[in-house]
Amino acid sequence: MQKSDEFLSLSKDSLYALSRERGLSLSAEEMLAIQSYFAEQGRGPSDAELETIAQTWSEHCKHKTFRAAIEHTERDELGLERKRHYKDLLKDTIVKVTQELQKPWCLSVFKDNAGIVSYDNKEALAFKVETHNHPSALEPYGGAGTGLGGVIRDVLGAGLGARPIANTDVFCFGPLDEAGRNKSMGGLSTRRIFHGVVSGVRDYGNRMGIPTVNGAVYFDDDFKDNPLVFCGTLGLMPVHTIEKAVCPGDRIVMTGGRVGRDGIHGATFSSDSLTTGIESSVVQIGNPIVQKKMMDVLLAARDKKLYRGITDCGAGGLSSAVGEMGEKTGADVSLEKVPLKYKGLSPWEIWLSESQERMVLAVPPGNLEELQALFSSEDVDCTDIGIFTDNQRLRVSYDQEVIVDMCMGFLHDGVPKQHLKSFWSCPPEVPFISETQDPRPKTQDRKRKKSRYELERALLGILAQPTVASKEWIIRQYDHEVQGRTVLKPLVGTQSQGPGDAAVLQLHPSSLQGTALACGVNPHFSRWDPYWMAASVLDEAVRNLVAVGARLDRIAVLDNFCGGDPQDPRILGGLVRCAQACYDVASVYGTPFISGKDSLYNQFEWEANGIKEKRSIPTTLLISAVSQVGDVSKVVSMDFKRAGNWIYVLGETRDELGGSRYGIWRNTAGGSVPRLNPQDTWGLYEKLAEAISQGLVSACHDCSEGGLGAALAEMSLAGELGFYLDVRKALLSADLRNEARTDKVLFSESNGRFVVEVSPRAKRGFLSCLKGMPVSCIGQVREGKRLQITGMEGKTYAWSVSEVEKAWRNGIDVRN
Amino acid sequence: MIYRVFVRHKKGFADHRGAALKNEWKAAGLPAVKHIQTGHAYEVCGDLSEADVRTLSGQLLADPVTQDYFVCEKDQKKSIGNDRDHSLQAQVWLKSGVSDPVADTVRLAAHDLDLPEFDQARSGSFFKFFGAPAPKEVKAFCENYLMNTLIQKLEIVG
Amino acid sequence: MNNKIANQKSKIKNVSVHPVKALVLRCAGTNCDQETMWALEQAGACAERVHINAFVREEREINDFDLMVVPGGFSFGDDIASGKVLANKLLYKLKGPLEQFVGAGKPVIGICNGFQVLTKCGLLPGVSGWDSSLKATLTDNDSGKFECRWVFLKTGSRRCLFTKGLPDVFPLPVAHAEGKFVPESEKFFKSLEKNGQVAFRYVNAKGRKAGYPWNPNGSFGDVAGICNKAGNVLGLMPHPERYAFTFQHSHWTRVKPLPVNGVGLQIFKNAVRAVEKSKKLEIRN
Repeated sequence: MQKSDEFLSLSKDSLYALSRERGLSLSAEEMLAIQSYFAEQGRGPSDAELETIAQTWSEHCKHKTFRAAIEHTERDELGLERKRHYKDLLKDTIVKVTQELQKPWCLSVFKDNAGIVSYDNKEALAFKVETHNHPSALEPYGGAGTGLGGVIRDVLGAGLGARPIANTDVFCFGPLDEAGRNKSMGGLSTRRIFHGVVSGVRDYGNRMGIPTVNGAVYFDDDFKDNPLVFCGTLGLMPVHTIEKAVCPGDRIVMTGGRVGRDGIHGATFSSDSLTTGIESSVVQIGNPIVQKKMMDVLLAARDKKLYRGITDCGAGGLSSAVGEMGEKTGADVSLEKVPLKYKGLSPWEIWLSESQERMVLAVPPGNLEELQALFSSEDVDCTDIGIFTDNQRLRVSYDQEVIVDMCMGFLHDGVPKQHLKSFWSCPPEVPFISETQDPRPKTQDRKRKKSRYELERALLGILAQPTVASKEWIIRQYDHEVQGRTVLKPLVGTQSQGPGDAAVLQLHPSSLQGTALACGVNPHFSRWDPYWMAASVLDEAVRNLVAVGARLDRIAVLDNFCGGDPQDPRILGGLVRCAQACYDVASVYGTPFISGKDSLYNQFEWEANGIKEKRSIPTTLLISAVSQVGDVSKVVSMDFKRAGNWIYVLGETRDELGGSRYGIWRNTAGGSVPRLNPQDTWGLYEKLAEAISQGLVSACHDCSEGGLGAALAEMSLAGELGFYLDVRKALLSADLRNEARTDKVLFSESNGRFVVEVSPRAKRGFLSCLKGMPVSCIGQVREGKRLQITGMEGKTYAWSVSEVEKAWRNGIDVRN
Repeated sequence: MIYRVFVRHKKGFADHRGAALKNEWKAAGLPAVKHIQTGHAYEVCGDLSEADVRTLSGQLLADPVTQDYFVCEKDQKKSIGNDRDHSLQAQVWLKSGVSDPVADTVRLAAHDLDLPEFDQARSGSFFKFFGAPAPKEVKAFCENYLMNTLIQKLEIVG
Repeated sequence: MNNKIANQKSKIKNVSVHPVKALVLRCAGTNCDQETMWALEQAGACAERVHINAFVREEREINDFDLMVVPGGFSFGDDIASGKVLANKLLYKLKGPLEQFVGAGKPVIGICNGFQVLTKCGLLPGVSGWDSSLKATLTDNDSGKFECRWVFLKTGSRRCLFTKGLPDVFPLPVAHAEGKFVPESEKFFKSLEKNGQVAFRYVNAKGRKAGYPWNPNGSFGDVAGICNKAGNVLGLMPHPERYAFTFQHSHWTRVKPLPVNGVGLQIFKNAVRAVEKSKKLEIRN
């Protein structure tokens, strides 16, 4: 243990070395600020105090990068530089758009454990998405499972507690075939991480009885050493429970699991990059039944109004939970009262342990007995461990030994603001690969001994890419029907085999009102430009909601940023561009951000030949979106419904193959990444929403990865129907029309587009509704199992529904 | 006294996991094994007699229709089945200090059978490799495919 | 039509009997209790969720209820084996009251985890009362993984009170990892068939015997649900409460005309009607 005077006289370099040695993840400036505070107190900090500050000031808890003042420089294609100053990146982008939009149905944003929006005049929805990346790389099953457990607790701790009603999961892995993975790095293989994560999240979610209704799985070399695991939970709560409070005199009550040595250093660890040689104590193992039991009895206690405030015990354990709840009042904790899993924990370990499945309550003393009786009736632990005071100090003791005694103000507001520099330069544009001299080379399809056009092989190849291919093997392991609310499921179609765009839940059987959930993610676009990546994924999430018939005026979004080392100006520059795009698009769309999180330092460091190497993930943004559905009986699924119906493409297709699935298939980094003009696209979405609400649309699917080609193929295989269409009839940009390349038209990933099926009877009404909008009729749904496309040059390309389905279904090799 | 209980499927009931592992063993390029048998393992410690542990096994840990069980004292280092069947049994246990929800449930459920209180319980899995494989190969296979050495430890018996 | 669907109310006639009191038994890990309550209430019962501790601690009495459902979920985490821990609680702590309940002919439904519980405590197959020597079980799916999908069921035994009015073939969702029905012997299974105790079997959309995924778990005899010999205890792996209402159907966007209710509701209605019938008889007597 550091002696008082020693700490106070350490140099800046020694302070930083101490931080590294103790795994505190604090910068030299932060250590100096701590030294200065304790110098005023006339003593050095105890171990527990240092650790408490390290947890509270961790990147994970304080979002120091996103709250930093940033001097941002951008250099465009012509080499001209432009500077922009952000006083606080988060407040100047994500939070700003929500403040400007001032939506009255945003009830609680950016202040609680989850964002809360109004559902109707009696109930509200809480939504949160979290990541658990670093633990999942080390112990995939436990890490991913506890990641889900943590976000469920965030929703349980929103207001006075929301009942979780749906989960979402998005995973980013390296390629399963392990090509290119350097096994000498040690660590688990991608295949083991994949299976561990899928199983871990599955087992936790299924046991909690929460349906997993939406998500995505993305495979790319960029994630082979740093998988990303995003888990989201939607909760439902009575509207009078959205606010929480803590009053001096309230008892501090810990409920749920007991405390062990799990996960000590978790919060600081996740703020550091992964290296070789990690201790086992950072790994957390979950017990979902303990959490389920706790949830059942907690919601009963909420309805009996037995507690006043609540928060979850997540990163940093009690130190964060009590520190946060007692911020305005003060708190006095007696650690000897905390129930333990086993003997032998030191006081600071009890204080900082990240043992799972715990919540902390603020309980008026008069209610304590009734609360404890209720909890014990269902075998759930519930222990009085201290009191909220009124002296604005955090005091923690074990028996009579005081291990923490400091001012809440310093703990929460003493972290020095970071001043960072970021830089972005536009990469030179490389044209998309040109065609060979023979514009439509016929290549031998060995299996079928029949010549196939390269375009035909391209569609099958894209559908078979693991990122695009069917996730049915995963989806069916997750109960998506529990709670009986899921009315538009993750898989739709005649045999429930096609990919739904968004999930729709009917919250009560007596009402036709519902809620819809969707997401958007595409890290690959960041290789071109994180600005357009962010714009595209925000548009994708919104498109997915529009496609099922959700309300446009009630869309709320969540941001989850993942990136590498923000101290690197170029990486930070990418994050800044991403955040700026969020503001620019959301302002026009009127979609407020209600919550978010960031996970940085997703990089892998190693030493080769005496040189330190580093590899980080591309800037990744996940947008999760939730909205209302006015009438679930009007919801639309993406499967083709009937032969004879007309096929329309909404929106203009442009020469935007940069970052496309086709580009990956052709192994080229050329082309322009898809842009977005939100004023234009929003106008179209409003009209489409109107048409859907009038029952004029039989099927609707948005165009995203794989462009028009993939969207059409998916609608076909889901509906077990063929089609005939002519791409020359689609609305194309002038350059695309002039170039007359079918592959570009079919596989461009331009934003703002849908494929819509309209019955002959509804055609007139549909066209009248969409008047003035970019709409083109390109063909018809056909009976029989043949997909037929007439290309730009008049050639016919064809596939059978069964080969398209087979390619898509078998894209992921799921063997252990 | 510390007892171990091993539970496996009876003959006639397919061990799908074992079959899948045999394919993985082959894919790992290791010399052939005859087959791999899998099952659950439990360790209980307390003021219990062998009869108590048999009650626990028959009434809780093993399903009488599809499974059979084997009880031994921990120190005996025995494995399930015939001692002379040229097999190696690998046992994967959670390390002490790691949360073990299954063991917690075993302790809780034992109360319903009116058994004496346990001091401790642990859960794990066992894998029996038939065909005289080398211990080194079994160890490597387990560490690469069947366990995470961060939170689990391995014992090889046979 | 929408109003009819939106305002679904029970069409049970007004009778001069007390309301049917339905117990939805829950414990640590029970999940499907809320939607089971909705289905029971839609069927006309007055449903209540009660934790098993209340009965074990004798704070409540099981025989105060007219109908019992052991709903789906992961009781005790499915630790050791699905349903085993809860089954032992019923067998060792509540056998007396439960024997009285079942002996009185009151309906008992075990859904998914509930089916596992009833089978592993010996209430099912219930050839001759409660048999704690356990003649059947539910074990791991042949696919080795959790299966969440829709299946088709063929209604078998008409002797059990739950199958009245059900179509010959109908869809329901399953969601389980340990749903494979295994009798202790083929001979024993034949006796179940002879007794008319096979309530539901898995079939394909055309109503014919088919393998995976139509039989999602490899159940012996394609068994999806069985009842006891007396016909008042039913256990089934599929979830009728997950298709009690129109929009729960797997692909209702393709179905015209839309059904007013989900077919699963009929199973609950049959249980409620059986209770009402026996209460009327009681009053008459």
